[in-house]
Amino acid sequence: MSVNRRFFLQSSCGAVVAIAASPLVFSHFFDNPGSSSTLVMNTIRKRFPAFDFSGNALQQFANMIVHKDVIRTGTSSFSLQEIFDTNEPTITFERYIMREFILNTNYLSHQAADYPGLEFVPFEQQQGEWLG
Amino acid sequence: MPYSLPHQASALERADRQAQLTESKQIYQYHTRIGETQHIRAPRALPIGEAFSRIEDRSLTPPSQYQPKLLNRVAKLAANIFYNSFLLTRVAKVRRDTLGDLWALEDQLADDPTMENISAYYAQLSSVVSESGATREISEYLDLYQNWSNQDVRGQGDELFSDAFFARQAVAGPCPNVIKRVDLSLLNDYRNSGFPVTDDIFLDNSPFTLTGDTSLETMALEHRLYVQDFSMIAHIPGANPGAFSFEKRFVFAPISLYAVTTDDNPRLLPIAIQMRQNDRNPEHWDPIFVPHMPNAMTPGADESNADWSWEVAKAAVGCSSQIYHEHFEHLGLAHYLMETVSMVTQRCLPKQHPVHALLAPHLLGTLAINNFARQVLVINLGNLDQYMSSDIEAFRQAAAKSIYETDLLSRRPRVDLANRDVADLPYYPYRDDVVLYWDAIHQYVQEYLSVFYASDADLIQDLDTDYGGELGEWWHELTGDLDIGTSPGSIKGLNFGTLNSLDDLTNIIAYIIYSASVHHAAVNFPQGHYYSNATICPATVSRPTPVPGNTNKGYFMEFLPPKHQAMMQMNVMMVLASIHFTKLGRFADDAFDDPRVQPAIQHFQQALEAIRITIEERNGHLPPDQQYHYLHPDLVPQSTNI
Repeated sequence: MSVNRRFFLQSSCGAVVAIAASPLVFSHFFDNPGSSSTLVMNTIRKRFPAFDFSGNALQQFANMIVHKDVIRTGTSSFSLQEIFDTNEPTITFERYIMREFILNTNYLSHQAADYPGLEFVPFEQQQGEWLG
Repeated sequence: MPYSLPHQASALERADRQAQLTESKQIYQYHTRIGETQHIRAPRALPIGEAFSRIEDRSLTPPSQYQPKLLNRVAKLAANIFYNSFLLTRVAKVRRDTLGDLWALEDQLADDPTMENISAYYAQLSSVVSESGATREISEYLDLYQNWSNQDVRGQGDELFSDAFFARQAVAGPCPNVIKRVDLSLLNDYRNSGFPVTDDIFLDNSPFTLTGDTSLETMALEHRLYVQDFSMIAHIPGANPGAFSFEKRFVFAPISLYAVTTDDNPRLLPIAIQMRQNDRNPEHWDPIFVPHMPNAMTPGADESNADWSWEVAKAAVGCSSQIYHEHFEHLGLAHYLMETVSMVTQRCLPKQHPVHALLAPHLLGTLAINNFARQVLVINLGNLDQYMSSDIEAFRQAAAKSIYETDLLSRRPRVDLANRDVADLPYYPYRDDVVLYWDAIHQYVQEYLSVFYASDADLIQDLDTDYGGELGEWWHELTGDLDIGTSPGSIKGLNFGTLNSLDDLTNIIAYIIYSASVHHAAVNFPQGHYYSNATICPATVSRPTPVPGNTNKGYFMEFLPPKHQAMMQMNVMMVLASIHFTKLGRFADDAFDDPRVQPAIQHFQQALEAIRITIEERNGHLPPDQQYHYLHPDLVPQSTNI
């Protein structure tokens, strides 16, 4: 599945993101899903250099980013025109990837004594554990 | 080692017990500043043995650890704020230079997801979005849940506008112990003290009018008139503007009047609300709101042209209910009360004392969670300061007063229910359940104590501090004003009445165990389903009393909290409601060192099993929206630990 810039921006509506990145990065990212996945993983490794990424959760996360195709509705109802408005960027590419990583993994629990290691858990599927 | 009373112990054993208490008093020292400002018994520092990392449920195999559960919920809270903050900054069109500050705190939170860093991030978020956080649609509040399940959250869909649902909160919600019967005398008192309610409140299309039932006096005589009166918070000022917001916050002390219908389905319905804005000039207008006004907002009505004043009045009751509940019923009569008992028990009773052993399972985790609450919830600029309408210092003072100004034994369920005269309410599951628990706990305590106190004479000896009576030290420290720091008598004694007999001791200990377990469960766990939803129970309200019959949807939306405040309210409530740690009556194998107590424990567990059957049968006969699960034995922890 190829990913073009428009598709990526549409796919990112769920997080309502306007990406400020160089054309070079974009062309590299959207033209090749394999290399885009690598780019995502490298971005995360760079942001969290001391974190243990053993296992395949990071790869799963990168795959999700590349193939993300859900446009959420409700609170995130912003026009594409707003998102395309690079005069008012609200987030960088790196920050978008970091946020999605934090939201779609169990990274934020990493200080727990029984932390099982990084796990990929899509944000929408984190609603359980009501009764504790 | 079998338990014993001090006068039954040998001289060597008594010396060992005293050495133990001397050491314990070094570990469990009172906090001078909190003692002098709030008059309660907080520890100077959290003892190492009380830390979250040491808390485990050893009734399970393998033991269940507390700390991972709490960290998991904190992580969910952090993720939720991450997600929603992104959207809020977009809505607010935050300037890039301000956003940079937010990003730095976001990085800090990502690297170190602690409550302190969540608070710092949220504080910056609040400061940059508070002017643009107003909502336009009710659904926006439900969108905030995201990684929390809102499936069972109440007040969605038709429930939002349902008067029957509103009334059910008074008998089956997080604050079910305010409602009381109105007799003729009380009705007249209200009429003579600023609540001039008359039979005119029954409008043409009221369900009461339609069944020919339009007399308040008749309702009072027939035991069908009830009230939730929040006058007790009339002295609490609103935060102006409160932490990290630019808006004045309002506190109301409403009177919400209810009546029971006489049709085939007897049920409680609200019939009038007076909002009683705290900072209102008493000489000014204070209208009475009633349901069924012409053009009132109802499901399916034209939202933009309907009158929302009744909905505003109900939301004010929801807010006041929460302010009262949090400071009095929850923080005061559960957390502060059990913190006091924990400190005094550790300081005054050695582990060989049977009362120490009896209370110990019901003290697990209380000091740790209170310490946590002081650091992030009730501190200045903390979570409550950020999202609750009341001034935070007044809130803290009111919470502390709740334990030293209350006749605590009047809060025993049978006494409390009798004082409120609520036996005739047709649906009141909280009432039905707490009576079962009280009887079971009272029986358990009575049977347990009788193993060690053969008669009142044993008790009198144990109370005699001149002859080494350890329970006497415990009682003195629990109920007497204590001198600490620079203020003599600075820590106030608790009012547990008198202790002269085994019956007295049984009532006091049973009330303590009941408060730690059942009372806390009843007021804590419904918070996720009710108080997390700002549309029915806003923790902050941002507008004064509206005009009856002439209030539009925009006013209702502005009355509700800004979205960033609702987000924090929702998150905190979901965290507090989502950790059930330990189960009442389920003890570790080695919880008691003395085999003589086993019959009492077995009988207690049998009583709890009978309660389970009763509650399950009751719920099985109720429609899903009226089932009351909060006091199911599987969901009542041993102690106040969240």
